[in-house]
Amino acid sequence: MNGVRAVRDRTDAELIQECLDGNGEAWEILVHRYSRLIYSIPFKWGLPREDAMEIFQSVWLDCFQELHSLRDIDRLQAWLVRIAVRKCYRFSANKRSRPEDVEVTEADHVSEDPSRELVERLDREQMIRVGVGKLTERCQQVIKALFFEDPFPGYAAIASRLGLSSNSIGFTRDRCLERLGKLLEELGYED
Amino acid sequence: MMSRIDHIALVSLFERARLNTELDSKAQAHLESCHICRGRLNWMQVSTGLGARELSYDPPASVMQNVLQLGRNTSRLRQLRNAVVALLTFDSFKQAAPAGIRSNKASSRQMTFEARDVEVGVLLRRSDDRTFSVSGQVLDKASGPIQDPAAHVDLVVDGDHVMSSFLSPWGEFVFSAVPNGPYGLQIYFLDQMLQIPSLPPIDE
Repeated sequence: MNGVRAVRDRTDAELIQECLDGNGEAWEILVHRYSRLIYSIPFKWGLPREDAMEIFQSVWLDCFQELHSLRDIDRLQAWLVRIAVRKCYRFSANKRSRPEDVEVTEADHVSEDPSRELVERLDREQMIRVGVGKLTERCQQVIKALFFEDPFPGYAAIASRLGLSSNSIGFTRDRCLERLGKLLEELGYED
Repeated sequence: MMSRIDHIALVSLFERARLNTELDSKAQAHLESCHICRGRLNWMQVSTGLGARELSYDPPASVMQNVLQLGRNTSRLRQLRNAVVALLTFDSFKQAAPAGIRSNKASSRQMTFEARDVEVGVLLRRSDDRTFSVSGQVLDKASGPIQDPAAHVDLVVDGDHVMSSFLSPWGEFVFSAVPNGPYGLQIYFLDQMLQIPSLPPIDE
């Protein structure tokens, strides 16, 4: 039996070493693993799309240039978040007025280091992304329809999309919610 | 017959989180004493909080391409694999002041770092407006200035690359109007990267 894990399932540290060894696929997996997390952070600061794009690229450029020092890192995610938040702090400090519709607290505007509250929230969101990513394709569709569509499409519409009767959507919904809950538990999700 | 803990149905928790449907009093009372149900409600609330914006958190394709391309930069990867820390071999602060000279608050600090056959001279200078300039020169000990038009120096704070400066034909670099902070340098040339993890401050 082949004991080698798929590249996709390797840890961040393993992927970083693979990157340094010239494995371009490892870099792609690393970027995809955290792309939504990093791209979401500037929007939580109320920064516009152009700034989000610039910050996203800048964070990954820093990560790439620090690969040699990150190979033993315990938590790459925390490092990426810290770098992204610092850049958001500097971007928003240069604005004349504080952006509206922000999701960060006053504490995050005071210091360029992310607040514990923000880090914990980002950790939970990322765990949910990872958990959803581990679901079957069908359950991913269900979960996305349940949580990530606005307005809520309704059970009849979801059933129709999945080719199910309205009577059986409840069973599918419950199964997918339970599966996601178990995955989050395995990932160490804490409220 | 074994007793069984009846947790709140997932659909009820989902509808509480997503549709703001009230739980009945029995379920509400159970929620207050059951960490499992509270945990489930929490992740559903966080998922609801992500909402429709979650689907907009995929960066544009062109931006992703720019980032993914980095991993194909084999020459930079080679430099990173060959990264080495340069050691401090000279520090003007360690030099004793001449006799009869009262020590004043320093306005500059000169240092030399070395790694392999390369020497990096660094000058930190305080400006009147409380900012600093960080300048220096990178020399091959045998042949003088580094012959690499792509050679450059990054000013770094804890992994965050804040500024970049190409090396002049004489191997010089400069960062002006830099706020006070714990800086390091990363020097990229040919197939090497020299790292100065931490520059000592002027005030020490």
